[in-house]
Amino acid sequence: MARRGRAAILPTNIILLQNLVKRDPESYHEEFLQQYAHYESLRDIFMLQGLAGSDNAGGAGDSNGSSGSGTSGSTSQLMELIGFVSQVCFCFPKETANFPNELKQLVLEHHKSLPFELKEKIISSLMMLRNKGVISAEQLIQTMFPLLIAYSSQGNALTVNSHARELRQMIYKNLISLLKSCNTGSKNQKLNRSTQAVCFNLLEQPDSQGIWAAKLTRELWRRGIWDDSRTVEIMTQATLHGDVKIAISGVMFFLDADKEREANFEDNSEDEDGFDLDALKHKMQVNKKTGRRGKKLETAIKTYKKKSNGSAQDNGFLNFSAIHLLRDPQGFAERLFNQHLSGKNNNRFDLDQKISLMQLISRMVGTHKLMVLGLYTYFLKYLTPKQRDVTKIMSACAQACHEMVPPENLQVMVRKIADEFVSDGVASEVAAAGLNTIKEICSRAPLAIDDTLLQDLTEYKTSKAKGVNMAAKSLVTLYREIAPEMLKKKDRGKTAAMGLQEAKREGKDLKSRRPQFGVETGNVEGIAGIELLAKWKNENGNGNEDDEANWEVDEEGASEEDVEGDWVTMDSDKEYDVDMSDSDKDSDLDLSDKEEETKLDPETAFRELASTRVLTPADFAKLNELRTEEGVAKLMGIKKNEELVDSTTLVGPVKYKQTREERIQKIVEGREGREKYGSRKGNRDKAHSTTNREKARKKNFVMMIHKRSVQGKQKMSLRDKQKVLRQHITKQKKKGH
Amino acid sequence: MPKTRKQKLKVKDFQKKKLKVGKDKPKASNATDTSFVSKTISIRNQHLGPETDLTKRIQLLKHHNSTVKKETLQAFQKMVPRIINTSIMTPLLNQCIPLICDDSRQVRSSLIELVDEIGLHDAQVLKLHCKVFVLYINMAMTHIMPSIQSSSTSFLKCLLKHCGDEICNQAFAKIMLGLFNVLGWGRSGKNLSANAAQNQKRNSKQTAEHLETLCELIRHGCTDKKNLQSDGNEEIPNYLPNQHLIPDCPQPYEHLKLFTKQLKNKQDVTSADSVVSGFSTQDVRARQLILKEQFLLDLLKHSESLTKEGGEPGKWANALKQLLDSTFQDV
Repeated sequence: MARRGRAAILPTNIILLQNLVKRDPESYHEEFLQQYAHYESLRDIFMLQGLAGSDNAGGAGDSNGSSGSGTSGSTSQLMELIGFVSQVCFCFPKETANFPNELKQLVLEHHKSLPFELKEKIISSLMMLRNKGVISAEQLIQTMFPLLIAYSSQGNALTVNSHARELRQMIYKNLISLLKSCNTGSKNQKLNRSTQAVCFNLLEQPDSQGIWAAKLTRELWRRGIWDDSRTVEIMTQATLHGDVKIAISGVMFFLDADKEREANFEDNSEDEDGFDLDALKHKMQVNKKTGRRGKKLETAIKTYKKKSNGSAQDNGFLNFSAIHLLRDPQGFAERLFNQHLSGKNNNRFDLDQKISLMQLISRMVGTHKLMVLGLYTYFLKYLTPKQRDVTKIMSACAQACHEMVPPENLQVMVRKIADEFVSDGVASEVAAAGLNTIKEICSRAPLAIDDTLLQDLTEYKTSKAKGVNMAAKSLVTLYREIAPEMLKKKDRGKTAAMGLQEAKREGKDLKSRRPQFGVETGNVEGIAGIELLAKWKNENGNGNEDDEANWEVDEEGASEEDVEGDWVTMDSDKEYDVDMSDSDKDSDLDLSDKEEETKLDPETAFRELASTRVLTPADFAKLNELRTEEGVAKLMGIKKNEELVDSTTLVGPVKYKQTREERIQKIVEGREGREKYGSRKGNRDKAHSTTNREKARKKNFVMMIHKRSVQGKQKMSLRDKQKVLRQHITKQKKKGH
Repeated sequence: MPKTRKQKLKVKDFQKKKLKVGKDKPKASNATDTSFVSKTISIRNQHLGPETDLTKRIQLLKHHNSTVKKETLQAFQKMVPRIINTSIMTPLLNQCIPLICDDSRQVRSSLIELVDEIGLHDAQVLKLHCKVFVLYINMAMTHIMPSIQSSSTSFLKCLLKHCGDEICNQAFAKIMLGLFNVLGWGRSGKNLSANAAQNQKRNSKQTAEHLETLCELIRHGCTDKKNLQSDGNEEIPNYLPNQHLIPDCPQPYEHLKLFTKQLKNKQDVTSADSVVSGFSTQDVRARQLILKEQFLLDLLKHSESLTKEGGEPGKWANALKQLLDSTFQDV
């Protein structure tokens, strides 16, 4: 095509002009100014008509209606022009300096009278201006939040044609995407802080506007955009809010948000392997631990490795759960309990919400080892078998226990559970639930039960119902480890009984070995898993401590270094106390002492190792390896206090008799995708012509009867016949038929 | 072969019926009889009687078909003498005015005729709606369609004829800017816009019309008949007691914008044009001042070049020049 002058491509519509202006802003300056003037005049018309019409809405109903519909044409024009100007705004920053401001004013001050489409257009244009860097994200947020609040209040939502719901959704989505885009790469702390300040302000007001702050925070937490303690602080404030909806949204955040976040970042591939970790875990909890379960252990190792690999990948957010990031857990838990559960206001919440509150408080109490003593007596009211969702309440009960709670408080609760749930008159599921709960409580706080009650409860191990006797046995297993002397003599088991006899023979005080109130156990200080390293060092000698090679990160070399480390440089100021302990051990080979030696206290190990030498990368590599082993042990049933008590497992396995339909369904399920049983003789895998053998089989018998192969059989000697028969039998057996 | 009666009947169902010439096709066994008997049949007919309610006609101005719009406008034009003093005029004008920006030329020309008719009967009606007229004319002047742009001046001319003072009072500067835009005279002193450059060459007739309107506007805005007659007392602005008298114009403090709705602007960043359009143009002296300070140089330059080109536009450019000369000789 021949070249044409600029005037030849005169734009006759806005879109075309937009394209031209974007390509060559200077040449189309005049056109742009003209359209900008057009926009201004349209805006003025709109201000005059659209707004005036809505102000005296009652006065001139007829004229109002007609003008409202009459402006629809100009509204669409105005929308088009707003889109145009905001698209090319960045080309003419001087001329359009006022434009974003005007849009903001329009939508903030006159949003009641603007038609929905125009509002939508203005909001998306503002979003576009933010993306093009014309306005800052803070400015945009300052526009969005007031709108969001304005449209969630009742007054505006009810006016005709306001489309409050759609607008809210749009603004909310825009807010999320804005914060997401601002926080990709590195976190935009300034923006986050200002937005969080807005959220705090929202939550300080007594009305229900704060729900938006809670909703936004939860969504951003789920996406890993906000992950600091300020965020958690917002949710704390939400949880303590007077409004039921906001409070519950806060509670749900603390209960579910971390799971949600994990699920969000997890790939779905893990669902494919059908390894039921929970079932294995449960079996390991309940059954006696023997060496027989090698296979299961292997699979457990595999999954552990898989999981640790998965968590190693960087998700770009701090991987702390919300409960761990609380600034003042004790104060929060107390206020929550006093305000929402025990106070006068507790009638506002229905049962499900109360249960969620109980779960949250008890989870916090368990995790941070807090003291909320009123909680335990509060539970008493709900601990009856007929209470709805009682298993959830019971799991909350168990969750709230830890060893720092005075045993008197817990004993009341345990007694109540035992009285209400565990008796001969109740259904087996109820008894199993009660026993399991007591076991969970006791695994956290061993002193929560006294000897007589424990011995009573262990009697249920002879129960006919599977769930009940499993639960009772698990209780026995638990106390065999913690405090065997509290059990009846016959329940103590071999090792525990032997240990007790030993102690008695030596005249030690039995009481001193029992768990005592106020003594913290299982509190790891220092480097996690260092006791394993110390133990490993003890076992493998201590030759290679100062090897330079250890400083190089060489994971494969770790095993070889054991052999290589012949040469030892002995520093004069270093003490090698490991040798000393070795010599000690030689002197007395007592059984109990050996046990103590193998159970190295982490604290002493830390002191022993960390104070004498600097840990090398090789040490850390070994440490990791050892911790993997321990992790497996953890999978096999050793519990931490933070672990959740699953309310569904409390009841234990329940087996009902299946109906005929269920049985048949199960059978049919088994048949799915399998071939029919029976001979595959007639079936051909591939299409082929009849073999000679097949042909021979079909041959007329009369024709065959005089053949030697047939007659020969009859004339065979007895011994030959027997031989053939034997051959035939072995052949058939080898075939597998 | 079927033997029993039952068997024969069974076979009969599946045999094909023979069709014969001149005889009806046998009815299917499942045919339904749809005939019915009724005493009367009422058919709802279209109501074709003459429409008396004019408010219903107004709705037709929003019809998508341009012919319908044009015919409605013409019908209203015929009815103007009857309805000029009724309350229907406000909704009618409210609906009419947006048609300044209508796509169809016929609609616009018939709208001009209607406005003219109204102005002939009662100019006060137009005066009442002046503000809206100004806004829409302004919009038409910046419209992206060239035809709408060029026809905007004829609306302006028509209005100037009937209520020139009111328009000059309200938006003299704004309309001046709009006319500059239509004529394609860049005020920034830069290049002409591509649109205008093309228009000028092609359409001298339209340019002439624009120039005529411009002359009219300046004549209405900047020549004061009273002042011309009683010339000589230029000290009126300094004459203090005048402040305490009732002013001549209806809204002397309008430029303070106490009761108008407008978006707040940061004054320091606005461009020159929008400042100009915001000037108060209530009295003749102010308008003359604006014309002199903002537009005079450009006006003279462009009119001179047009005069040289000659033709119809040249004639009007000359007239414009003379008008400007006579106006500013007095001041």
